[in-house]
Amino acid sequence: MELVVFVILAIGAVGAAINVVLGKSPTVAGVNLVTTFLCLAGIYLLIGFPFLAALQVMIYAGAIMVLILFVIMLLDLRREEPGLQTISSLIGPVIAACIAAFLALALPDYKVSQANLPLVGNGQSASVGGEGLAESLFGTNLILFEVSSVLLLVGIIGVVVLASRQRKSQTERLQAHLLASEGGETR
Amino acid sequence: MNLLASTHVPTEWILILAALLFSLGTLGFLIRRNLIIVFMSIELMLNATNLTFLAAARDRHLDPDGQVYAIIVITLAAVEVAVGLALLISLFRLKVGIDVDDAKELKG
Repeated sequence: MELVVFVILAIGAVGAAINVVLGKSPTVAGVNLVTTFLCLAGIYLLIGFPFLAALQVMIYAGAIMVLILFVIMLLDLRREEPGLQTISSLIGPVIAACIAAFLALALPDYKVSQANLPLVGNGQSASVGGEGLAESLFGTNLILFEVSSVLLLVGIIGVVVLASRQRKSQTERLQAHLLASEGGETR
Repeated sequence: MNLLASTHVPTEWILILAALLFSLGTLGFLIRRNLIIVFMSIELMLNATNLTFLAAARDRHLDPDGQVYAIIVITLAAVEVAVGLALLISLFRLKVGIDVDDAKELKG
């Protein structure tokens, strides 16, 4: 039963991902990406990580996708992107195929390396999304947590700087545009 | 959730799915010209990474470390999207397009 659900969710995720990669319009790609995220959240739930599934829905399917779709609508894209070009268009698929082949080749090694892994704790740490997670996040991996908070802060500052610079350049562009249109030139 | 019930799906299947998603993300990152779709491809790759982390964590008896790494990756994806979209908007304001080729010169 779980296998059937997993296969259905996996097919949904991969199909939507193919639509993202090969589809034409960014809006359709965004909606398909939401489908991929939701299918992945279902898979997280299925393999026993309900907290991560909730985070996936809230952050990925919620916040990030709203941001992306908002930008798509803000930019109001009408221009079709040009089709694949000659030589450089072949390099991308070849590299992607190489990575896929590499991952496929690395897969049998997983069992071997897995046998060497030590079990954490007493092998009974089944406290998913509870104390075990909090202990790991704020205990053993505290530095990781702090670094990611610094990263968030830097990200916020960077976005504010970018936005303010953009406003300045926008007024300059407006002035240049006005000057140009006074000269009788239309864009 | 019951530990025994949650070990039904073989880990290899999850890893195959993650590899597929990662390859698709790589493909999209390399062949698409639209910057927004390039960002979406990066998100796909990050999600595949998350799936790998979680598969490994499940194999190690629901190791909380794997979940912590997945949470960090999600945070990183959020920051990356915020900064990337800000860059994209300023690029759009500066020039007219958001194709990858529009940013060839890398100067205002």
